[in-house]
Amino acid sequence: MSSEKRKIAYIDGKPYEIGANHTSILKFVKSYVGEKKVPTLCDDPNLAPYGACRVCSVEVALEKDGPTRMVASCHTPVAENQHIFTSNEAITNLRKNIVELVLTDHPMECDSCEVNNNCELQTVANDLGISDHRYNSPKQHKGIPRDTSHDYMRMNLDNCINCGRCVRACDEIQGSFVLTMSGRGFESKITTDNDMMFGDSSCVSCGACAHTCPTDAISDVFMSKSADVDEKVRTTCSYCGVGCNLEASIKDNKVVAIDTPKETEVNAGHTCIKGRYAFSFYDHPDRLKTPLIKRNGKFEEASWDEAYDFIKKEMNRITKDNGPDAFAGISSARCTNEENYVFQKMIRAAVGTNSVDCCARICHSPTAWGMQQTFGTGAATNSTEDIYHADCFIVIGANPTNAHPVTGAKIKQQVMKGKKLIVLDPITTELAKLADYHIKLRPGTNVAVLNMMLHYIIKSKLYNVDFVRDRTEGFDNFIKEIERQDVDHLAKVAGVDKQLVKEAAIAYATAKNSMEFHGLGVTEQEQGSKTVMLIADLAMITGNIGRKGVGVNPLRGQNNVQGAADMGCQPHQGAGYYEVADEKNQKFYTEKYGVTHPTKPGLKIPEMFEAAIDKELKGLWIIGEDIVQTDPNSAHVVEAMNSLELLVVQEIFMSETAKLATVVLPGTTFLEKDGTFTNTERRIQRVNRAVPPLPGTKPDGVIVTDMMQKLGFDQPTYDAEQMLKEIADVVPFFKGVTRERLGKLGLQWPVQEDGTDTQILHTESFKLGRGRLKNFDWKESTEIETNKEEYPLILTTSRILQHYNAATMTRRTKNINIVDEDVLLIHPKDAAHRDINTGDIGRLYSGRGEVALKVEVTDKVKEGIVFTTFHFPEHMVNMVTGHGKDEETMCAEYKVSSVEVQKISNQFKTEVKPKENQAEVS
Amino acid sequence: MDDKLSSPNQFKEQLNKFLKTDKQEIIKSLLDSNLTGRGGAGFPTGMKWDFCSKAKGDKKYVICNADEGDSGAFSDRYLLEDQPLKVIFGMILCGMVIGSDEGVLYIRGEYPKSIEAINGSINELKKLNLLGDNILGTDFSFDLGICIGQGAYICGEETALIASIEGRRAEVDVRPPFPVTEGLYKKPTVVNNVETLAAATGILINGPEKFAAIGNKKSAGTKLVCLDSFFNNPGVYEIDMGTPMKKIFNEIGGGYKEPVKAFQVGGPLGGVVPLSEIDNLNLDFQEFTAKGFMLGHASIVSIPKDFPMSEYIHHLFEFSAEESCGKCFPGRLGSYRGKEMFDQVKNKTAKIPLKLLNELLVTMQKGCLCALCGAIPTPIMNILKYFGDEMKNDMVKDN
Ligand SMILES: Cc1cc2nc3c(=O)[nH]c(=O)nc-3n(C[C@H](O)[C@H](O)[C@H](O)COP(=O)(O)O)c2cc1C
Ligand code: SF4
Ligand code: SF4
Ligand code: SF4
Ligand code: FES
Repeated sequence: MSSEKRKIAYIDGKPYEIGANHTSILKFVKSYVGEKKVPTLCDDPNLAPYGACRVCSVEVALEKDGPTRMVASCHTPVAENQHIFTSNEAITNLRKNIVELVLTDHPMECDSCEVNNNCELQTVANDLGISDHRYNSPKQHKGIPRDTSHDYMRMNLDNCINCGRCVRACDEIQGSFVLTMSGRGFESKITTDNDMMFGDSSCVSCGACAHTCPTDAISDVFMSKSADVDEKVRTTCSYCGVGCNLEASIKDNKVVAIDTPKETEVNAGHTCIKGRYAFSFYDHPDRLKTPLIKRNGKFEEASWDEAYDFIKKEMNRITKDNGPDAFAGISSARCTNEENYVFQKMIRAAVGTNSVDCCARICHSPTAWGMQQTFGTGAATNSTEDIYHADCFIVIGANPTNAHPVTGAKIKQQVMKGKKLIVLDPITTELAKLADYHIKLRPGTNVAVLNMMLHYIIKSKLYNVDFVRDRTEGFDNFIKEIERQDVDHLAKVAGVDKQLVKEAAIAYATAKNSMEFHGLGVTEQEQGSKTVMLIADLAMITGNIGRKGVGVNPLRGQNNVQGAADMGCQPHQGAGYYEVADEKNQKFYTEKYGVTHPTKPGLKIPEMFEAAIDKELKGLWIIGEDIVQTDPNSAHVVEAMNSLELLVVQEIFMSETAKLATVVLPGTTFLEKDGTFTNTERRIQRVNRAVPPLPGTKPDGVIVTDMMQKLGFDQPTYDAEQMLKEIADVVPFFKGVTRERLGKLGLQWPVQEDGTDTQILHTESFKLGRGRLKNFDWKESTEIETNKEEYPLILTTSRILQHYNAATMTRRTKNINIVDEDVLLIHPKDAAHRDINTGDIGRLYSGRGEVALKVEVTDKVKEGIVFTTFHFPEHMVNMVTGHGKDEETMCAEYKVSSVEVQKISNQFKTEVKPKENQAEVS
Repeated sequence: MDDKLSSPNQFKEQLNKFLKTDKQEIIKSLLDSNLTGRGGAGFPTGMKWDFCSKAKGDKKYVICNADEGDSGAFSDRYLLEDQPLKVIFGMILCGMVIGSDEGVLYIRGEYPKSIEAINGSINELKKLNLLGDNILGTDFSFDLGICIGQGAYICGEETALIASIEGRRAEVDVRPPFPVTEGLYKKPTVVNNVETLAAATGILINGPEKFAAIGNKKSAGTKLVCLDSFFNNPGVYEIDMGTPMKKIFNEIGGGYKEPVKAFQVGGPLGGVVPLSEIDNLNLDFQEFTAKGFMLGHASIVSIPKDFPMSEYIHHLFEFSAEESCGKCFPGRLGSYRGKEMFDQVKNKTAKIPLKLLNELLVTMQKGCLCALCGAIPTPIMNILKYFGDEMKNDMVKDN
């Protein structure tokens, strides 16, 4: 690399080296002489150069003292030996004259404007020293009605300067194409969809337009660009596993708005509706503000000490009479690493049992397990950034544009730029619509289709001979088993077109870099772990492991589900994934914790339910998980909870589970605590306290530590930074992590002692040495085998963009105005048999229970499949879902439930929601 | 232009010959001929084809720019309607040279006859396997489609034209990337003017020497010139580069029907040449530019003696305000503010603020993204220079 000759160009006479990232004169100049040297208005470093405002103009000469030419620096490349002049009279006059023209069509009411003192136009004009114009009565775009029809977004086009940044942000970053510049010349203006009101448009409320808009022409109801705040605190989103960096604006100790810092590794200034706008749950009146103890079936308010003493007494009684294994804990993937760590430590060291689990059990436990079996490490092999380096994507059982929106948008952008996309999904998701190959298989047949793909790759001799020879083991047997697969039969059971699967397999195998993503559509099935291992096979035999732009990448659901497992909230492995049953490890943990560590693997969540019903488990402590609403077969869960003698629930709201608790302890949201989250690409990022905990509440780590001290365990008072130090001492891949080193952008584990982190796993070898190729045959799900006669339809569930899981948080924001119910999707043919039309209310039922849902008839779902979300407690969709589990990890089979649908009534009438329309005129 | 390509038979014979010719030789012929683009920007055509042939891409396009929007220009129309085979032949050869299998003719909506003529030729050539899959049994395939223009002058600008074909708003794009590397649907694309393509056909059939021998290196060959109805012999003429303008106007055009004081040469963005300067000019791109004018597409619009020049400026500003895309700030706002200035002169509500007008013209000239609003100051500055006296009473100097 460095053998190339260094290239030089001159800025105002001084020589500077041209670097690889100096794709324009503007970038070159900014990197050496600062951001302010050249003004800009239409440029945003996260968008492609556009060249509209021209205030970035500079003069260039091809040689010293050569003739100069005026060019716009943002889209003109730097050339070797070029002489760049950033300011002289001609340039300054040009900039002034342009800004003067802008001011001829601007209201100039800065004092009353939301973005006063945080406006790019204001700054550029001030820097150039102009505040007025010389034109005689120019026509202005003034008095355009403000658009206040949207629940979050606001539009005030009087202040629009036509820079087109909003349009480009919507197109290039979000990929939603809602905004357009319509009209020509002086009449051009921003419109949403086909001149619709903002609130009626297809806007997904990501806020990218407001974020980039240099004025207040597009903003939001929180006025997130207002400079009138006390402080801005950088933190990490607590919804999904993408892990977007956020910036909370604080005024009078309240979070008034959330935006995102421009400079971030994960989200590059982008977020989805949830991260940016769905934060007002944090001080919602429903927040629990005092501990509650249930006496005679009724909750009574209690002081913290009363509650702690009550719990201590009960815990001691239970463990004394029945041993520590009569107690268990379920941790929260929404809480920080520090909190998860200290919670599992309490259960293991202070109580003395390994029965601690977390919601990874019902989402990605098969991923962790399957990848451990094949590679040795149960985490995403690559980084989100690698999306830019892949040539082909395969997305299996995931709907990232809804569930991992920022990552979904990135994939979508690349696909729109011509990268190949393969989607395996029974639903026509947004990505499936764009896919080159959408394999619309029926739920429960991932193993069948992956075997077909492997078969075609092997048969076409498209596997990577070198990689297979140097990096894997078991190929000889593998190839035999794969060749034996009966593809015709598999195609039939999966209901897919053989030719399509073959073409997709070839596309994956022949692309330079193929990158895999999967979601819960892979794991939440009876053959979930096996599917993961076949995905690993697919990557290994084609050599798509260990470099940029490839890999096997689970899209982790919850913000810190990776972290919860890393921290040891699993019954068979402690912090850092050491098997608890191993004596060597017991010694290690015993040394670290100062008490004898239990060796018997604990109970997994579903086993806890069984044990509770069987009266073997008597006490359970749950942090921030609404298992009643979110775990399958709700009736069974309720029965288990009611069988317990002590149920402690740490929560922010009175959830369906909390209602069943003996003691409820009011925890806090991420905005009120310090700590770290680990995102889907193993990036450990800081969570920084934005506001103090609501009076009466305590951060969850504090609660657990208080309790440990009450129980007589020697645990220092909770402090996130200290706790991270302890973790770094125990968890090997956290070795070099300190709060300070994490800085703004975080670090990807494993982190070496010197702080070096890791973007890509398995570059040289696998943790297991060689990667293990494993075969599995497809098998029909027991759920379907048993119930298909009586319940011929297959239900598969998922979530939507606007809500998050049990929606405890998002229901308590304006997102509820956008979507307020779960809807059942059914294929036209299936609907016709049952005489159901869109808008009817249907009874969705199985042997376990039933719910009534509004129905939408659509071919988005495959024939024989019905689909819905599970966000609303009014519906409790999990009354219907099954008992099936992944064979290896007991992950619940949410994606395959045998059900039937019946029409209840066509009582549903389209409800016309009153919207405040364009009333207000400035 | 000689008529060796008026029948499909001749077309077939020539095509057969060129299908066997080495691509490099074709590029060399064009380079040797010194042909430069006839659409206004004057880029060497051989170089354009060469760049595009070297650009990487699994798909490439050839676009014929037939959006002829210059007032007083009808030379492209003449070629489309009277010599369609020449234009199409140029496109096919371009496709062969750059490795493209698809071409698009972007034809102005106001030219229904041109669309009909080109359509007819395409159908005929397809029937004869001179267009379409495996032309004349070779492995070269090339298909042609027509796209009807969106109607604004800016649609003729190549990046706006590409946007328009893609169904986007006709808006100018930044360059680089140039169309030769990233054009239609982000694939390498040659955009050539109708006349350029027809001239390329002539050069390749007759050899480059003849063309290069006319005029000089930078302004070589012949050029179609359109004379408007103020001339005694209006029409389109093929004229050797280097011919004195006075010869064109007085001998070929036969002089003027009415007294004229100036001509706008090269469309709305071309210079306004006062009658007195005609004697000092030859038909030569560089000569025009050196004098502060622009030959461009070489259409001639006469300005009658009694036509007020401030009205002419108003008309020019109005043109750029109405026909521009409005993307860049100086273009969108500057054109409109200029128009307003002359609205006010017309309505006698204000005088011309000369200082501000001059600053505005420099701002547009130096600052604009493309040559629409960026070149409209050329004729306006010409008028202020040569006819300033005429507007003396309407001006205030120090505003
Ligand atoms: C505002 C504007 C309008 C234009 N209109 C035309 C046109 O109508 N026809 C044309 O061939 N070129 C037009 N051009 C030039 C094209 O952008 C482009 O340079 C040309 O089509 C290239 O072909 P050539 O190299 O054969 O000249 C226009 C350019 C500008 C800036
Ligand atoms: S709304 Fe804002 S971002 Fe969009 S064009 Fe107007 S000023 Fe630019
Ligand atoms: S994509 Fe995920 S992490 Fe990012 S803002 Fe949305 S919910 Fe938060
Ligand atoms: S100069 Fe600017 S506004 Fe005018 S047409 Fe060109 S890009 Fe559009
Ligand atoms: S920043 Fe370069 S043109 Fe606007």
